[in-house]
Amino acid sequence: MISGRLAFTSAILLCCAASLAAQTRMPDWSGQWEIVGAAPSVSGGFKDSLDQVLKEMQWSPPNKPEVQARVNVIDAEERKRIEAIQRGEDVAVTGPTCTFGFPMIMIDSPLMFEIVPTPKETALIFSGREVRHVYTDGRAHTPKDELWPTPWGDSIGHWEGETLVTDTIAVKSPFPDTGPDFLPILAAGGEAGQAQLVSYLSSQAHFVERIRMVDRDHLEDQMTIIDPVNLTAPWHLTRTYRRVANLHRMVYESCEGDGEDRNPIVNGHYTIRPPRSRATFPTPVPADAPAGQATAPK
Amino acid sequence: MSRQKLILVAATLLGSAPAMGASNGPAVMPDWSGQWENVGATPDATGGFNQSLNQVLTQMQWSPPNKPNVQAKVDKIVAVERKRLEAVARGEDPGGAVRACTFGYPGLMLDTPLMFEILPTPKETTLIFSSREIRHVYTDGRPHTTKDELWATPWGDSIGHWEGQTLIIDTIAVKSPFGPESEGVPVLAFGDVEGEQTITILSPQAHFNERIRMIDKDHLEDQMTVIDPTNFTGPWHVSRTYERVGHINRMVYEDCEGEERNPIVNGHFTLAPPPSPAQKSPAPSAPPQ
Repeated sequence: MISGRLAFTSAILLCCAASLAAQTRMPDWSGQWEIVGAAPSVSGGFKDSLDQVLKEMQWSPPNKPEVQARVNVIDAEERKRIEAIQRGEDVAVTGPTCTFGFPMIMIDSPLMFEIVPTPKETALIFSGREVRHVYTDGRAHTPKDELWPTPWGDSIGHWEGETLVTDTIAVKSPFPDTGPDFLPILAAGGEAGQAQLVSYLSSQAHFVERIRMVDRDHLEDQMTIIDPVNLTAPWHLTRTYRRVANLHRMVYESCEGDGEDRNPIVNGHYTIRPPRSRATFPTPVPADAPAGQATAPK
Repeated sequence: MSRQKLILVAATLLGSAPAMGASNGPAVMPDWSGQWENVGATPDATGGFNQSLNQVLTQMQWSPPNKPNVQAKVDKIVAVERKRLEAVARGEDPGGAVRACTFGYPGLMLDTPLMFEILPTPKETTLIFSSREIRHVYTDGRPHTTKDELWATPWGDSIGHWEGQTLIIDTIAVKSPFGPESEGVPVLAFGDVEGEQTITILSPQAHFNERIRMIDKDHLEDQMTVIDPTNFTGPWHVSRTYERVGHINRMVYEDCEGEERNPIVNGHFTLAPPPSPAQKSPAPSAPPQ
């Protein structure tokens, strides 16, 4: 009993010591970041094909058989719809997607983001004006009577050295017609922005992440998704984020209807594209383009 | 001639000194954690404002040095706004009411019913508002964005530096969130249920300096100077105080699609979870009186 208490006390001391250490020196994760393998192409779609994304991003959700069966049915219907669009028999519904929600914004979205670590909170700010707030002041999750699901969930965390460990619950789909217990996980790829359902999570899904800097231009997020309702076991997946090379400030997507891309990809790099209302409309040129290069995107 | 050059060099060095010293921020970053609200701009339970428009106009000390032609334009707009307000007072619906989820700068700092967080780090301070509007103030010593990469946005282009525990911000390239850049940036005072009054209109050339500091553990202060030679006869100095939100310790975003997640009850922000299919309109939890 006493040793149990001592162990408990030691655990608290270790936890708090780590927390205090974090307060004295926060990691420098400044700058803009993008998900490796999820960069958009100049067409507004994705640079990698859907097949490439499905292969390279190592999707391997341990879906329960009934979940996998439903995923297969939905994907088959979606493929038929895409084929119909390609034959011109259906109309593609397109528009600027500005709310990806969690966990998609960490797994497979074409948005750039910033991470702002402070001792009591780390904010992750995405170019779709989505923000994740990870409170690291030692609080527990929001009590049930004040908690409701949102597209970004309820996140708390702590620091283990220079690794941010986050814990997220209460996530709901950002798509209003998906229902309260269907959080779709999509792989997106191809010029037309094709998407394939990889899994869907229940409202009980629980997320643990370990985010750290692996070198000065790369961050890594080791995510574990625990969902006893829809998964047979914890789902482990890893994403790498790289520093956006040609931008050094946040440029928000224009989500209010003009449908223009403020940071299109040219030659594989983010570029700046001012709104059309300006008198001059410089065509974006990536910083590493040869001098005098024609500005037509490739 | 050489003395002039020396003075120029000295001035350049003096001008750069705070920025260079500030590139790593102060030795200890200030702890401005928590949620903040604009004193005098808190909304009431009806969705309007806790204070009357007249109270706001008196207490918020609006005194823009408008040029005569700007003041004449403002007076015309105010006359229309007053007629609208009178119609509301008579119980008529004058139309045109919209749910605003983009206030833009400088309205965000001057008179909005939103809560916000400030996250200072050595190279950047972000101000995050419950309307999902975000100001990025880069304090890594950079100059403003170069002209060929700069366009006006509702939040502008902000750089800054630290003088001790005071954050100094310089903002340019601001446009109205409500209209085209050429029409300038209206600055509005809000009060009552649907009361609004235009105080001034800033030109696209407006330039903003702010000094934000903590004055006690529950209050921040923003001393703002607006420089707009096109529309003003001189700099406009305005000061705002922000108080800690008493009953909420996390960011709760407005539901800009129609419902309010943090209505005011008894003068305090409260939480109103979205209605579940079984429960259509939950009453917000009342805070202590």
